[in-house]
Amino acid sequence: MKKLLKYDYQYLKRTSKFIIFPVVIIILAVLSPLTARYLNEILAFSLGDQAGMFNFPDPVVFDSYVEYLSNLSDIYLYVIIFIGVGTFINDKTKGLYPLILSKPINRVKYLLSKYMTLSSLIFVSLMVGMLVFSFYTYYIFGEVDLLNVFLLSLLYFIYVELILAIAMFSAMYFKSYITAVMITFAGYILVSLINVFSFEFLKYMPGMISSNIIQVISNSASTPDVIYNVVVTLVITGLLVVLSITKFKKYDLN
Amino acid sequence: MDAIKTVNLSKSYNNTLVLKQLNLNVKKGEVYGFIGKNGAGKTTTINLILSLILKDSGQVFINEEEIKFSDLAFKKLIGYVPDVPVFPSYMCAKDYLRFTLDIFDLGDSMVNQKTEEILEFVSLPNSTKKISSYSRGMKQRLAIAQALIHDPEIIIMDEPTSALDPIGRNDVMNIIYKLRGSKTIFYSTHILDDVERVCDRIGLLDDGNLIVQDTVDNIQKNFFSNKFYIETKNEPKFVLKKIAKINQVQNAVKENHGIVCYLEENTDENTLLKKLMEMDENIVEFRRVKTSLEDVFIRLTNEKTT
Repeated sequence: MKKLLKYDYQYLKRTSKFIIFPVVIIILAVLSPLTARYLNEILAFSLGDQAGMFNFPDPVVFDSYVEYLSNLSDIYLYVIIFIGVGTFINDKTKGLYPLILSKPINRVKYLLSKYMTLSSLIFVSLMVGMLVFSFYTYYIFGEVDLLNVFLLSLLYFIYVELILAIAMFSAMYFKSYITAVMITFAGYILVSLINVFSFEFLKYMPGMISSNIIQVISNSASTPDVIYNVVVTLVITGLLVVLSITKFKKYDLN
Repeated sequence: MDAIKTVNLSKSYNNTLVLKQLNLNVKKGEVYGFIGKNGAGKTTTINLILSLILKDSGQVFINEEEIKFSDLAFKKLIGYVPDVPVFPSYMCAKDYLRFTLDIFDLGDSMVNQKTEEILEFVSLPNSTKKISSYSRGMKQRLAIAQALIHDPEIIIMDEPTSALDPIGRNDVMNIIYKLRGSKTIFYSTHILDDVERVCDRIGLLDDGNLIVQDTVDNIQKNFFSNKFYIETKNEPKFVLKKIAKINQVQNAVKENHGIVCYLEENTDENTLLKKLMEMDENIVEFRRVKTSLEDVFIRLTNEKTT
């Protein structure tokens, strides 16, 4: 497993994917507090004389957290989907499987190694993002709750694990990169859509993680609800990983 | 001892049976040429032996031990050269060889020495150039290098020369020739000159059936060895007309200053000689022509389809 991890890291490093995750998150970590702080002023400026008709509330540090989470949930997830699917499907679409699978490589470890490599890279990027974001938020708003930012990053990372599992699942079940990306996006939209419905039984589904993050950082979360939400997300993630492994174990080059 | 053996191995795609109860055996230490037309089922057989695809039925044995799809241990004994080798584009040759050694748990202090030796063996420059910039022939030589670096007992090659230019093909054949005797080599191809040059035994696959399996000499001796070259003092075109009328002659053509003819299987050369004497031909040259593998291949595959 160690050797596979080593080569998967090498792949990410040499194909510049290694740098994309931290760079994008640093950009988002810098832009989010700036946007939260100055968006009202930009809007007021662009509206000119009509600005007086609207009442813009003064920005607070909470706006910075929400902006950061929003950017992570959109832009950063798109980056994760595009790169994640590519990492899982690349060996198949590029025709590398005959040489790889003719070697004594354990297929379970092979797949888990890719998943773990990506996960760890994203986790480290999130931690870097957390530091940069915290620094900038403090610089701009004069205050920051490090624990809240850490919890935000951690809960978001659990959601990322699910998206990566969907990406891996799609890459195992579909032959082309485009199809796998589309299926992953469909999975992501499906998961997010659950937010729209307010059925009791849906409140622990993965799509509720964003709402729970907001509640956690506004100190209004119900701890058991958050824990159940995390557990359900991790169970679904695990299920997708198992299904992907099952498929890959029986994968036939034809 | 058989290094590779298949028993009643079958495989179908979309309800079409492409491999039909294949029974072949490759003895330890021999070079086995697996020949057949395109689409005969050669690559399918290799993929089944390597557990790259799932079989419908039958068994595959490596060193007399039956292998299952998920088995990994037997893969340590095998080095595989695919027909179109594809490598990670971001690696250089040394990186890929190091990766291979690591996978085979051989990534020790001798890594550099081993990679340099193997690169020299396949005549590849030891450079840091990315594999993506390699020519087809260089990629093929790297594929051979990665198949050999862990010193496997068995080398399986799937048409390693099919898309190479004559120089590249000659290089690859020289490598196989150098390996003769030290490894079991299972080598699929449709280039018959190569097979005649390096193989101890051949298996001829046609439409998913193994129609012959024997040594090259035996095949040439036993199959269609009744090919003769006849030259007389008479003009070849007149001789050809006469020979064509002999009942035991299956086919006759003019070649150089004489005639090449095929006799029916149970007819010996004395019968032909006697007939020529009866025709008052003054024989200048009369000899049995060594049948090429190509003749055998064409006639065996045609015989089956007609």
